[in-house]
Amino acid sequence: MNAGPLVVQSDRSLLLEVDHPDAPACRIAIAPFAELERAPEHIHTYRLTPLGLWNARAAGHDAEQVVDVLLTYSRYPVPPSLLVDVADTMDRYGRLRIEKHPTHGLVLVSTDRAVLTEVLKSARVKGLLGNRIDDDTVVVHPSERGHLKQVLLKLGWPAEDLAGYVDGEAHAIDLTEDGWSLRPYQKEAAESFWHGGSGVVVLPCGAGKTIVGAAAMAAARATTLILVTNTVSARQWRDELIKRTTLTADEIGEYSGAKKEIRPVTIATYQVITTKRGGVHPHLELFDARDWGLILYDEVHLLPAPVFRMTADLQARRRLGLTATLVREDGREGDVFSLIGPKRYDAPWKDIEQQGYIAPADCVEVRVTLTDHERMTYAVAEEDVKYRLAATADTKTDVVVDLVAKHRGVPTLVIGQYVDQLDELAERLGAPLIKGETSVRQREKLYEQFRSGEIDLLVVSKVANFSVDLPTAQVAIQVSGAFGSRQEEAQRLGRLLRPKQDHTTARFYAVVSRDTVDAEFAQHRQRFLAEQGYGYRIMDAEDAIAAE
Amino acid sequence: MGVTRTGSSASATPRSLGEAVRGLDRDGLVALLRARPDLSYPLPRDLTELATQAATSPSVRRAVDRLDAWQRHVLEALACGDDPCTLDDLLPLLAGPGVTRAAVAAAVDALRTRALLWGPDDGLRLVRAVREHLGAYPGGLAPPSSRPLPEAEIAAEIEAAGVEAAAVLRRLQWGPPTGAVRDAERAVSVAQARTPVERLLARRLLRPQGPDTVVLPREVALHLRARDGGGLLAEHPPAPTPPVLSAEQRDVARTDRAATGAALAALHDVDVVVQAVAEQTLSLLRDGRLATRDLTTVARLLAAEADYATFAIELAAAADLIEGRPGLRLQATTVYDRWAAADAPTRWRRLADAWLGADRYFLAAAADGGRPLGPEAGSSRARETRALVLDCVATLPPGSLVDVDPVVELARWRRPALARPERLLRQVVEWTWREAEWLGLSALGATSTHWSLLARRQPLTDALAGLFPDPIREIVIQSDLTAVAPGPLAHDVATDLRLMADEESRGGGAVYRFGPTSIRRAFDAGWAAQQLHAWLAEHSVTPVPQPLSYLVDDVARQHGSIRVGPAEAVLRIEDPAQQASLLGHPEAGALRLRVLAPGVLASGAPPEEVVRLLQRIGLTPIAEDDDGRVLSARPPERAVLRREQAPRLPEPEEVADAVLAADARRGSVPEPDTAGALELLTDAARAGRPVRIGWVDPDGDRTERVLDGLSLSPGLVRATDPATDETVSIPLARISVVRPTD
Repeated sequence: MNAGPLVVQSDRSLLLEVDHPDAPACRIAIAPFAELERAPEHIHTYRLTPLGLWNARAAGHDAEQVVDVLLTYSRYPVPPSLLVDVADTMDRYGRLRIEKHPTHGLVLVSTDRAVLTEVLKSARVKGLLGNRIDDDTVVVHPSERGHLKQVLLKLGWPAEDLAGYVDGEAHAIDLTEDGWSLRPYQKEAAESFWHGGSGVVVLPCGAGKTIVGAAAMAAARATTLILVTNTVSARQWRDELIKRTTLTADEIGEYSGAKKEIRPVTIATYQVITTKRGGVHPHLELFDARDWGLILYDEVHLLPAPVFRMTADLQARRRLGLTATLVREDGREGDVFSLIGPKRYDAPWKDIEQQGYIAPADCVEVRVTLTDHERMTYAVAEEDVKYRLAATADTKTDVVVDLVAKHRGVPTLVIGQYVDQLDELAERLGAPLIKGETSVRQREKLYEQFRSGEIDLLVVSKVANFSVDLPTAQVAIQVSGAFGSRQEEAQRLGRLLRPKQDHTTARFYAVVSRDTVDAEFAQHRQRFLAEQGYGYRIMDAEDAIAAE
Repeated sequence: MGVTRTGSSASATPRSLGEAVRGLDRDGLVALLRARPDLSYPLPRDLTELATQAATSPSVRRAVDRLDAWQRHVLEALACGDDPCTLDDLLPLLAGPGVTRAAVAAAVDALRTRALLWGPDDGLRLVRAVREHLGAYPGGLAPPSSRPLPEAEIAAEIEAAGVEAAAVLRRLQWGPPTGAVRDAERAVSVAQARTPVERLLARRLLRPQGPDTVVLPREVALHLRARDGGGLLAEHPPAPTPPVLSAEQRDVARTDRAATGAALAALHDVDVVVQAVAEQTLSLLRDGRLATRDLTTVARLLAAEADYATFAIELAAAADLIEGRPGLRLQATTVYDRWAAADAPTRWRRLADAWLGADRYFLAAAADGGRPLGPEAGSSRARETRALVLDCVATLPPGSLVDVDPVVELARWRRPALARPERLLRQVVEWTWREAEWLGLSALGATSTHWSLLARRQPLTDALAGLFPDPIREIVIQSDLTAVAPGPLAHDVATDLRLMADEESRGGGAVYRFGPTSIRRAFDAGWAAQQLHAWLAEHSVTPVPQPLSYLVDDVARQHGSIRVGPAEAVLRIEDPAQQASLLGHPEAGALRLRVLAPGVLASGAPPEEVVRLLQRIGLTPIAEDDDGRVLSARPPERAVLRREQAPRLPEPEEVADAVLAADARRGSVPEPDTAGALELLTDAARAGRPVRIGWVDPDGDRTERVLDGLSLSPGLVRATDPATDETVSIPLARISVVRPTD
């Protein structure tokens, strides 16, 4: 009996026992083709998906290697049907290739005539392809390169895109490695991307994705369009680029709600690009504003749908996606694969561990019992206000005050969603409050004071805590949470609570009203945080305040 | 093994089949019973009865159907001649590549062992029913002509009859040798002959056989066959030895491991099917098939194609794990509970045996127009044919890469009777191969050791059984509220866990997720919070995560905070807020609630409806019976298997001993010399003599009466009982003994 660390499930998930002596080797071996889904304390779940297998194919792994890894590390005999399925799936990638033909331009070439015939019969490719030149070659309408790749992926025959790229308008960009240098994995990531042409680099939070982006720009030496999630992130990119490359502030433009600058390197937010006015996207021009040589997508897993559509038309430009995870909540992983490109680099696991993927913070859910009056109000309230009622219950305020008092002296952030509640809390706590209407200057001043230790308590709203330069704290108390993307929330949390140099564990409190929808939302958070490897406890308010 | 002639009248050659059978020693008897198992049931009373039974046409037909191609070929050769015939008479007819005297003698021996013929090699006599079974033209040849055309003239006459006439001869050459023409019996001279048939008749190359039938004389057919090469009895005569399979070899250890992987998947998937049957309503249509919708449900649960889902359902049914009657819902059986508690190798072997013994082609139920458990997949030959395929492939060592074609060829040689129509045989070989792959008898195109063990009906070796993982009793509970079983869970542990957590993923291991609903389910089934805590602590290898303990207590705290009584539905609510929430809920109007006292409500709706509605609007009531006891969930429903277990058939040795003992007991009574029951009956009918007949009536009772006025028709004897004047019809197959009257 093989006593390997891996248990293969019939739903194509792989269970990895992390404390097994062979677990580290197994982890490295399966990372190229399996996606990590959950990483709680003892057993991590990976999943075999067609996309994951095709990513592995694109990275040069073949089916035999994958099957061999599964057989080597599996604790129990693996059903041969699964192995055959893996081989068949991997074999589908690259049967079709998009190439450049000397006379016909863009063409679809097949190494398997039956596949080409099957694909041509599909109604979905109508209008995307032109004449059939010979048995194995069909003309592709240049404007449909992206759509074709999307359709082929949906048909189960993902095409390898070997048609190459336009160079774009040249622009000198170099890294200025004075006093710092690219870490080996950053260098490797940038090179893998450059050789692959287009694709996605997966790095954990804090592993220096911006620097990989800068290295890619230095390789392209061309005008670059950078798409980021929000304005704060845009400014951080600008600052990093000025610091790490020969680019000057004049060469970098910001294209956001506030400014519409188009420069050799332009940083735009998803929000401004997806803004619609009168049914059209007025800022689409941005993509044609220059002859971009490189397009950079930050946080690919959050890329909004309209940007996908625009990206479909940009297949001749080099594209680099940066993300911490390929898992998308909307299930559009396939579009990332076909439009941005396959995964080109995945950080070695050891780094991820060191970067705090595993248990960087101690999460405590604090359950407060509402007063009878509050419960009655809640019970008879309309459905649509119940969450707000539960989240902003007065009882919470006392608990927050007690928790703050308990951690007096360590940098503490109080985070909330509802401004009324935060106003009241700030007043009770005598602490400064940052909310949406707080000016940038005031915000930066308070952040600076918090960083320097001049103040050790800040109350911030959800709007404010979106900012990238939010200082890290040792204690965070969330009094009312967002019910948006769990992933977004966890990421924010990861940024907020970095493990400290002195290895003291950061603590995150979520104050939750018992027996209400507030507690139901907390369950989702608990699951997600636990899956990310955070420690998680649930305590009654009295116990939480009384503890050590 | 031949018939040993060592009986009481051993000195002489036997004069009848009855005598030959009575002359058998124990070994000979065992060999006969082994080759013709139908003779053991019902148990013959003595050797006479056994001999009579062996000569009946149904039993002879079964025996002939079990012959291999060469034995059957020799049998046809015997049938071509008259009784008695010698081994040397047969040789010219059978001549061909590889055919030796020894090969013919071996086949004759085999036929003698089976009591299809008797007598020594220089005096072979066929059992009459064999001739009947092989028809009027064994080997496609007419009976010997009374005035045969001399061999020397045949070639010249054929030449003279012309090309068109030769084509007519070719059509009749391989049999059947008869053709229909008009007015076959009119005399035609060579000069008058106009048509090819007339020319042939005139030259005696065809003979009239009746008013409208002509027949190709045997000597002409043999001449033509000899001229064209090939065999004299068949265009493509079978070889005396079976075709030998050969195959490329794969690493056996790797194949066995992969096959075990498939076997584990099959175990797991059959379990999924039974769970689906137990937890959902899967019903059989009136014709006994499973509805398409239900098949789709199972296929979705298995994440598999419909054909695999069909296989898994059929397998579960064949192993008696599920049972259903047309028009009713399927149910898990008590057999399932025993099966599920067994270890993996045992469970697998039960499935494999059930598959081997099933009288259905599982994949026929997945073919066009088929449906799981539908009548169209049933076949009386399924068991035999599947075993044949299994045995043919098992002539190869484990690890062989198998092709369909050679297997079909070998199967056809071994059991030509099962190879008709050949398309079906090929289909069955393909089905069997695919099913065997799903079952884990083969993997990655090659046979596994499991295959040869099953073919030899041997138990799994320890090494092979060791590939099946041992069941585990411990789980890993994590703070994302999942419990992971890193291997197959013991049945009782899995049953408990399934009650308190929802299964999320299965396969080599299993993943379960705890949630308020699942914990509540455990409480509803009568578990207490303390029991849950204790169970978790006992079965978790790691400390139970704090959030789970908290969740259990939290659900326990809320559980039952509302109680509903059945006396026209009374609701007691401890919590005024909940009461207010309930009364204010828009859906509560349907319950016609009245506040009786603080915390006590009455409803006009029946309790079930009240509970359902409360649950729907997100409250967590518990139901009470009229004594105030909490109603717990019912135990899972199980069907008691109604199908009768097939009786164990006695071993040939036991039958032989019983028959010999019975014979010894009546040994002193001089046994009349019955030259075979049929012969006696025929003679009696011809002579109009009364005869004593013993038979088994439709109720299984034995009767023996003196009957008169016999008339024989195919398969039936009609006769009159002189004592009562009653006319009786007795199927020949039911007749156990015939004795002349004194």
